Amino acid sequence: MTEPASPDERIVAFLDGALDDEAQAAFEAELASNPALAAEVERMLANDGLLQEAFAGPMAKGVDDALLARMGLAGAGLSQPAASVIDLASRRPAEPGIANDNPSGWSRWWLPLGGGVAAALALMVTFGLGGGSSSSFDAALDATPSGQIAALEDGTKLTPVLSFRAGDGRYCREFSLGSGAAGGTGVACRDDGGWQVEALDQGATELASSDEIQVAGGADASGLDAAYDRLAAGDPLTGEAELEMITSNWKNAEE
Amino acid sequence: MKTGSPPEAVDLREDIIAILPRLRRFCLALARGPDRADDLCQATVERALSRQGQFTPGTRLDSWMYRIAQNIHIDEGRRANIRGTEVDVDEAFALSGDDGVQIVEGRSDLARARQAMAALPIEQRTLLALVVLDGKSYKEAADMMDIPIGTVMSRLARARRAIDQQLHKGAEHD
Repeated sequence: MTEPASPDERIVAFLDGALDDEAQAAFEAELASNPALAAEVERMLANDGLLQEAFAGPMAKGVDDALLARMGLAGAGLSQPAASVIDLASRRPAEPGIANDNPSGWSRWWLPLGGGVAAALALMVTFGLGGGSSSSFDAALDATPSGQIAALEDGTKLTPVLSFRAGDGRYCREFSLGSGAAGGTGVACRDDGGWQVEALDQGATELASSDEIQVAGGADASGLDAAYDRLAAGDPLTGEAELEMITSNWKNAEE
Repeated sequence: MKTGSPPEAVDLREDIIAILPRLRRFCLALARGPDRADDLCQATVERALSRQGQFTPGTRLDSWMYRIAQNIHIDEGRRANIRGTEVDVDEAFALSGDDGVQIVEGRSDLARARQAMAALPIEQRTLLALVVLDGKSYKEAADMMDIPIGTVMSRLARARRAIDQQLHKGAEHD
């Protein structure tokens, strides 16, 4: 793999999840014992977060019909319903352990979450939509289109994978937490209290230990397939339908 | 509108709609201002639609469209230079808030972050948009811009350094 050629490049490669497993472990060890380096990384991380927030506008804005018409995109989907099914295979996260060679747009944004290092980093990346009462987990699932990476308040990367409707009418989303060796997948469904986690696989369970993420009473750690059955999941929403849900804050038309 | 297209013609419109927010964000970063970003985004979609036949199904639509946006942006820059028009970097984002409405004192952190981005050279700005905003891997960014991964890394390091300096200007008393 291409090695970083300078300390700056090493930091940058770390932030972007581009170090191989060995180099990453070495860097994390250094972070734990080098407060100056940790402060540097924290600052760069905060700058990244600020940039993401500064350019988050287009992600949250609705795509109205007038805009679509201006762009020559109106009327799409009327004649080709088959084309609107989301290709799940292309949205799967990279296999754990593969460095630098991620398929299809999944960066390895792996950040150490072990006690000492996390405390030293004092991560400040927040998903800043509206602040206030809801957790960053809620905000991330409320507003992030599938395939897009969001950062929770404690630095964990969360990427929604797809959205669907459960048999009881709730909207649900499958998402991945973290990535690489410390990653995992889960499903959460939305009710008035926010996004409740319905299932987590093993990798995600370890990550979801913060107060940010509420795990529902009957949450299933054994696998997502069982959860999909239990929830009586409908077909995944199309990109367009999902975007509508995001802009309407997941409110049913019938509510 | 074309008539008599063959039945198996690719229709990318629905897929384009699905990635439209990300494309708009990419254009916002590239074009250094909301109005120019909208123009760039529209031009990109138009060109993509007119070249649908050239898109290879199964490959990444977003990379294909980002490349189109880049090329349009660079072409426009060249035309502006030939005409002797100066692009005033300070004007880009200078006085608009999040919603594009002009405010007198645009000194918020977010406004400064957008200005810092606008002040970068185009290759650095594009790489930050691809990797930091859009979450692309180094390999993907390298393939898209046709440069080695090492160059991606060094440009991202320089870009972040420059952003850091812009954001912390005047706060030297740490």
